[in-house]
Amino acid sequence: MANRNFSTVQALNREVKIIAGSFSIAASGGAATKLQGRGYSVAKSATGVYTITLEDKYVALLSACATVKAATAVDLVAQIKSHDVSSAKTVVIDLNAVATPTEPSAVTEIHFALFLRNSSVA
Amino acid sequence: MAARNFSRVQALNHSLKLIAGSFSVDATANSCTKLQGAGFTPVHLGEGEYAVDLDDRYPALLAGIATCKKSTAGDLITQMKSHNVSADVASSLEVQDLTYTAQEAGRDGDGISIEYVAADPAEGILNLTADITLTKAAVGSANNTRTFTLQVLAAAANPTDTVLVAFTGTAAAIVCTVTPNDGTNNAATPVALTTAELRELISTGAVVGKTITLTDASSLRALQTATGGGATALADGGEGDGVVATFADGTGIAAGAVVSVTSEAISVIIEDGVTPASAIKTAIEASEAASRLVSVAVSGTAADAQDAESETSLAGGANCGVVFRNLATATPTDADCEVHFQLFIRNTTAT
Repeated sequence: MANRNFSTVQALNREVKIIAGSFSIAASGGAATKLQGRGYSVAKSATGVYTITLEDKYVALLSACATVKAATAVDLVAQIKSHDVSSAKTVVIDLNAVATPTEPSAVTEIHFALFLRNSSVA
Repeated sequence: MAARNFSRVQALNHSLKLIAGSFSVDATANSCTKLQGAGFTPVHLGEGEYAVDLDDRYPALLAGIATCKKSTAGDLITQMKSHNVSADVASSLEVQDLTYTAQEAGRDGDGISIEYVAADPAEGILNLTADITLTKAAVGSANNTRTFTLQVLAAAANPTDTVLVAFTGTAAAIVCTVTPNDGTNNAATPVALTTAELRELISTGAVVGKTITLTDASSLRALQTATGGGATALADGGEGDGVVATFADGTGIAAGAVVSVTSEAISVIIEDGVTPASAIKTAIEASEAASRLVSVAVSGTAADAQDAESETSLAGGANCGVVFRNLATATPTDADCEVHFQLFIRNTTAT
């Protein structure tokens, strides 16, 4: 593993927490399987729709972003559909093909990063 | 620069490292230029594909996020193609029963190529009114410089209607002596041999419609086949007499393998359909130049005969890092733009 000096990451917001992870989507049936990351689980909630459920509640979601990983170039885009991190603890991601939630025809991964505020101080 | 209080960012994962950066894409020059960030180098791999080579190795990538920045609106999205943050991956290639792996891991290994070239038998030409081309039955360069000499004696009183043909000498210097029939014992009907009939005799050991008395104690006739020839009869002091064919252009080793390396191109001359995989492996390993480029392992059956194979490059080599692609209508596309990315990396084996 890397053995060098890394610097502390800081933010203007207080208590910024990162939940970063990745999950795979099966080619048949579209089931989601967690690959990396802690503090969340993931499941398919509808065709082309995947719900990340956080283990904890947070005050607010500062930012969420997601990228598709596919071995072969494919018309698929990950889009944040909705989020509720303070009550339902969910972030919902659509996997869209031509603006329509779609199950991939080959194993596909979604990589995401959530920047969460864990303080009531905005 | 900003002068205010910032707070530490935390994560559930231990030892989370963030490599964030950006690079520009020059669609004309097919190049990438690092704009911001540390610990990586962007590389233009091909149309719409960009590697982010990491300076260090990490146990796992938690997530890789990328976004395209373009000054004009356009159909361009950034997608991840592959990632491997823990080690360089060596290029490899399976050719029939052998698998070649680049000695040095990384994408540069994809530049190494392998080809199996069919060995050629040596050929020689008997310069006649209509030439006869002699082709050695066995492939290999060992027959180069060997000779085949044609001698035509004066017609003699051969028994009945026979024409005498004798193969003498050695494999390195074959002498074919033809004695036509003067007809003394054949009702005054002489029998000669045309050059086309000589070609037939060399290839088959007989001539349809003629009686040949063949002497070939050392089995030299079958060491070559023949093509060509014509209607002109062989004659003492004339057609064919004293003509010598010198064999040339034979390559390889019968049932063996000869390896040559030019830059990163490995060429193996084999006897097509005969040379076993084990012989190729041995030849590759005996070649210092080839061994410096690749290792070779039997992935099939060592004794299986191998066929000629066109030049094919090793594939699958990758540097430690992440490969992104820019897509326009689902097709990797180069466009002048910037790619902004964040890699969330775990730098501990604890998940």
